[in-house]
Amino acid sequence: MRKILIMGMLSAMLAACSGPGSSSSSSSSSSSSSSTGKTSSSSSNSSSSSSSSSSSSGKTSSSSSSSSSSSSNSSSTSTSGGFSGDATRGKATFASKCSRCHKDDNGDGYFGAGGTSGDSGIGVIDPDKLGSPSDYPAYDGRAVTQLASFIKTSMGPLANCDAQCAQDAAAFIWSLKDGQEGPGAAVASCSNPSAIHYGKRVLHVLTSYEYHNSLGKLFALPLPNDYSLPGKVGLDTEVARLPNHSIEAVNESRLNKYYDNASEIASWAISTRGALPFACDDAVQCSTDFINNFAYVAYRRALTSVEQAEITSIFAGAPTLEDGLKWALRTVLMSPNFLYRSELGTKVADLLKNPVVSQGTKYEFQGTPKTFSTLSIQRYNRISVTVTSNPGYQWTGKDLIAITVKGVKSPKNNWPVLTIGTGFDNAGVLKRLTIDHTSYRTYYITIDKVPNGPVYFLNDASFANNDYEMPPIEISTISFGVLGQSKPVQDDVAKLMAADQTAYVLDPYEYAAALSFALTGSAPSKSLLDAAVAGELVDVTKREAHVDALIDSALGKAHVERLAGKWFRTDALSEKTRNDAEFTPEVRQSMMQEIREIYKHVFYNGDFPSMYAGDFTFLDSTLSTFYKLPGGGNTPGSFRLVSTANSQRGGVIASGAYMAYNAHMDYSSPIQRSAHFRQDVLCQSIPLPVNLEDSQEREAAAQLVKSRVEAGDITTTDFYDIQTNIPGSSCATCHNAIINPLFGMDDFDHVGRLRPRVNNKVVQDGLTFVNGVAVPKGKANLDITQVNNGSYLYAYNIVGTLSGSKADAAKAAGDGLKFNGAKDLGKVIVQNDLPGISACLIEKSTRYALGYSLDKAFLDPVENGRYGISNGQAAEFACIKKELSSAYARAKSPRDVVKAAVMSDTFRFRK
Amino acid sequence: MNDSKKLPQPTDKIAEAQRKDIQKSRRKFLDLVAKSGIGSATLKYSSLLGGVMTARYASAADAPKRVVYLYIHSGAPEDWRPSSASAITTNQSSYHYGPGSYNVAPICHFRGVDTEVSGHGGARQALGGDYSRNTVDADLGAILGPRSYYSSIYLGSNASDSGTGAGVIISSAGQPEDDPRRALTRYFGAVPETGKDDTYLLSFDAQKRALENIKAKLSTDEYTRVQTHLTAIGKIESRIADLANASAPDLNACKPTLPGTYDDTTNAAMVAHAKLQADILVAAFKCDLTRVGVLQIGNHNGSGWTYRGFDGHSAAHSGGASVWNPMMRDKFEVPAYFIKKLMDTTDSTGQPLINSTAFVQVTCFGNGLSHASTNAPFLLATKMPSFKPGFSSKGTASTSRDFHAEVAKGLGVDPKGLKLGGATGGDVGLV
Repeated sequence: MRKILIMGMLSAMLAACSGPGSSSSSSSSSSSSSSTGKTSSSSSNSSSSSSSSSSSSGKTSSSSSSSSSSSSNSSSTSTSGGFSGDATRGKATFASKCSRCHKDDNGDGYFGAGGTSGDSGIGVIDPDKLGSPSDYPAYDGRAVTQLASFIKTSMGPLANCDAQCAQDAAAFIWSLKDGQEGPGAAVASCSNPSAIHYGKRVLHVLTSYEYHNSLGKLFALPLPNDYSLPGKVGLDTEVARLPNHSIEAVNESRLNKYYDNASEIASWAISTRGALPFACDDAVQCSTDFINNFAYVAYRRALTSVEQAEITSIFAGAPTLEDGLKWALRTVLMSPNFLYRSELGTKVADLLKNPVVSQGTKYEFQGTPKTFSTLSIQRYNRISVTVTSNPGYQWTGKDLIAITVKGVKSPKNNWPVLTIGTGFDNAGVLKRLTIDHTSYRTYYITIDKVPNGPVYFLNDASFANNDYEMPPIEISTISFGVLGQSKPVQDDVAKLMAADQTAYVLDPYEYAAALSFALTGSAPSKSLLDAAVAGELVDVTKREAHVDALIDSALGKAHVERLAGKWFRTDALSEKTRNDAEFTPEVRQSMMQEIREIYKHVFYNGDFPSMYAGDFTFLDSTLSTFYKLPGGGNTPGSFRLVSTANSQRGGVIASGAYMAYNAHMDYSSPIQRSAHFRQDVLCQSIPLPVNLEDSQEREAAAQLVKSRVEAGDITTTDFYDIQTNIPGSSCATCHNAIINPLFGMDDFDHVGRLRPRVNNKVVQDGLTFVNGVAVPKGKANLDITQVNNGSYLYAYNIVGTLSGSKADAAKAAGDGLKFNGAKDLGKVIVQNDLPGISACLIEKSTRYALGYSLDKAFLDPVENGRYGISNGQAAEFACIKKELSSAYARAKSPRDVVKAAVMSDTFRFRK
Repeated sequence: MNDSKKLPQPTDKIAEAQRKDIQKSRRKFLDLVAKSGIGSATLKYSSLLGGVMTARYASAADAPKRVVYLYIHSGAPEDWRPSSASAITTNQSSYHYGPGSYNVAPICHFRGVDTEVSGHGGARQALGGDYSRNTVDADLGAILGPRSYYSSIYLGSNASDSGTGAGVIISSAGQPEDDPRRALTRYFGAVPETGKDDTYLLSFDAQKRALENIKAKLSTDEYTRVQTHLTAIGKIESRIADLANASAPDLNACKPTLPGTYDDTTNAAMVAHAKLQADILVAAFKCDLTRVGVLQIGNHNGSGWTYRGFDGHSAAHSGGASVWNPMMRDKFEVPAYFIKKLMDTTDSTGQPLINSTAFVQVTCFGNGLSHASTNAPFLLATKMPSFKPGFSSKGTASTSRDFHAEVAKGLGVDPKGLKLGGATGGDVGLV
């Protein structure tokens, strides 16, 4: 739904709008150069020559009318019938003469009125629904000439718009057709930027990557297998081509794999000394440690009393301790609390009423405790506390011990173990702590009945590999007192009070988990959970420090890299083979990593556009050799920044991986290169091919191609152009102005090598039949005209749905950006600061981090109903998009965009 | 059914397992009917109850009912639908169904239906679904095999080559397993160790409670996600219980043998690869591990295999009929092989599997070259008495959803209980 033209009352409104400004404005410029200097060419074939002149900003402008193909549909501003409207001129004309009444404030190509649909005009124009038979029976808006005539007759006298002005304005309006009636997706605007805005409540199932990483956080040793592999966990479901389980169910197939993994991991953990982060010697102690040190991290929160009881009963009910541990492990690893990552939140009012309590983390004494300081416990020695000892304490049966300790590793590389228990021997263990820190840390132990004997603190070297060289454990303070109340986290009460009380908010645990998954693709560490529950995410400075730490962590960097491989599809290159002996698996692996390295570079160093326009890449020794470009790392897999200022390489498009991925076995795929460029770089959605009719023209084109292949004198680009850009056919809907004009980026071969240059022209060997298969073994050194003469990017300013008619109109109007080769295309889009560049970064970054899009224009078909974007959400998202755009504008840094996304209220508050 | 005498007989364990399954299902069904107070006559003639209750307990019938869906990408050339079972020529794309090859056409109903989405607009219409509706296999698993070890088994051959989104993965039941060895390990591997006691019950109870807690935070329209998970938990739980039972199937008796190596990078290799997956599905039926199978061969955007210098996707669109037609002809060997395998393999009753199995060939659009939605090649092959016998062939304006509605009827399932958008069968004419 985009635009409408309500012609009724239009004359009256125009009269009201026509003032001195419009009446005195000059007639439209006769220059074909736009104010931004964008290329303007009316050539309808990308291979046709055109005379061009440079504008002041260095962009080319052509007024050539050497159109060699007829317009393929009615949307084209054909020169037939005396029509000579120019959309580029028309844009300027429209701005000067029509925009007082017809406004497109949000740039969606729909001119709304009265504030509805985000536009403040008083006259509605919908380029996809022109005509007003009820008011003007003879005018149905089906032809651009008719529209021009209508404008001249009905608007011209009021707006001082002559015949040429009317034709130009009509051409401009016509160029805005996109096949969707009504307001566009971008109608939502941010009306209250300073208010709290709300993201989506989401229940994610862990993706394979998240699953493996989260498992890794649970154990003290590396996992026995890679549990992200399809054989272990199945394939991830993709939404908008990124792994995304925000609407996924844990189906039988997936759960079967989780079960197998849980069984396997439990067996490994039990049989592998040191795998678990705690010792397990008796059921009570093991159960307690399991809850506090394992399940706490797995569930990413403190367990409820019911959940604790479940674990305890498993230990208690099993025939042996090992059986208990086995089923406890399986239970947690199969638990929805582990397999899902919840960003459902808690009602704001409920969290205010019942703040999260940091169980096991922060307790307080009732009254003043007895505190002793500066103690030291030698190996195998203990401190015992009774009523009369020193230190001494009168136990009440509801007591709390707070002990602040530190340790150092022994010469044998063991950390000390502090066992806290009751009684006179080593039984009655209350807690066993590995003191694996050299700075003081405080632990709390609650005592729920009067001890039968002393409470002891033992430097338990027997649990540290019987280390006879174990250094003493140093105690800063040890406090005994009556247990008070657990302290709620000091949350951001003011913000919670200001929020919609019926909305939802992530509690500190969920907040920490959401941050960790968004920035590292992994569950949070225990320390982040502890920090969150200690209130550290409330303070903006501390929160930002945690965010930075996550981004800069090893997992954070791997997570950043991974996005690039998915975004540009190049991670799939490992599965692509080509008929070329040099295109080895090692080359493919290095090419894939090259893309990841480039994105990682711009992510951490800023200047995102340099990813497309930069004179650099990252090479290891494998790629340096393959590309014949020195300067890469010394070994395979060792990547180094390499200047490509003197090469046609540079950035992610003019790269081996992009070009080799978008290719066939023996030759390139200019169609895939073009289509994926629009989809992945500019975030344009290309119409799907439907019901392609057979025709004599298609057959003739096929015969022509066949004869050319037999002659061996056809380039890959012509091979495809002739077969697809057939005037009048439905194929031309996409191939006339959307896809084929980008064939000028075909200066790389099918394995990502730069094509040879002969006499300063990019050439290739012609395609010819060998055993019935077209292969590039025909005539040598054929001129690839699309590269050498230049090609055009039409409809360059569109983000989202791209219609053939709109692109056709742009092409017919000569409104395109000229480029020569893939690298030049990257530079051209950056020089013109095309909106798709930042829109795509924001879309990919937010989808990757949040699991959903902020923009209706980018919804995947599977995201419908409750998984789509309601109008209310669109209004909320408009504000966060504005924040992200501002963040991007500061330094064009992907890191800034991601940080802005997770630091915003939208990330914590949900609806 | 004379041919059953020539076929290898099932092991006693398999027969016993299936007999117990049928008895248990019947008891549960009758218990349910008794508790509901519904008379059997009411049940028989009420479409609502018939759709819900009899369908849910369809396995209470004396013979198990199975269905397998085989998807092949890109539709078919115009000559796919033969005029008779015997008039199939060597160069015809349906050659392998004919007397010159597997000769299974005499039990095949060839149909040309409308998949409604012309070309690259989704793949799930092949199984009657779309981007939000369940595909038929996802719902039939619980109906046809409420006590099966697996509600369905979904295998593939280059199925996920171009991604795993709803646009290319035909089933809403999950993701396909594209590797035969992994599939074999998964379904015929070592029986998981369960322990010597009932501690596992505590574990599964904890999981179910956790799900209920999550459910309480979800909106009602997301309950199906939780229900899917709960059903899956129940399935594993009952499998653990059954595996401890002496009547558990002897998986080794059914387990097929795989060659040492295989690949799927060429069209010919992909055919061989898909046949291995077909063997695994047939074995799963034989061992009664499931009542619903899906095999996805390629996808409409896939390019993971090559044919005459083209990748798979380009072969369908860039090579013209001289490339595409023979590629598809070769691919259609897989369904013919699969049907023959079902004819040659017996179930627990000693009958050929084809007597209790509806083999359904599907795709997601009509003609790969033209991206048409019409005349999409769909096929039913079976000897189940509830379907029309013999050979038939016709084009119809009915939809793929209608086709699936007809198949459901033949399986004894009211299509209204499935998510077929109200399709009732049109003039597909299979029952």
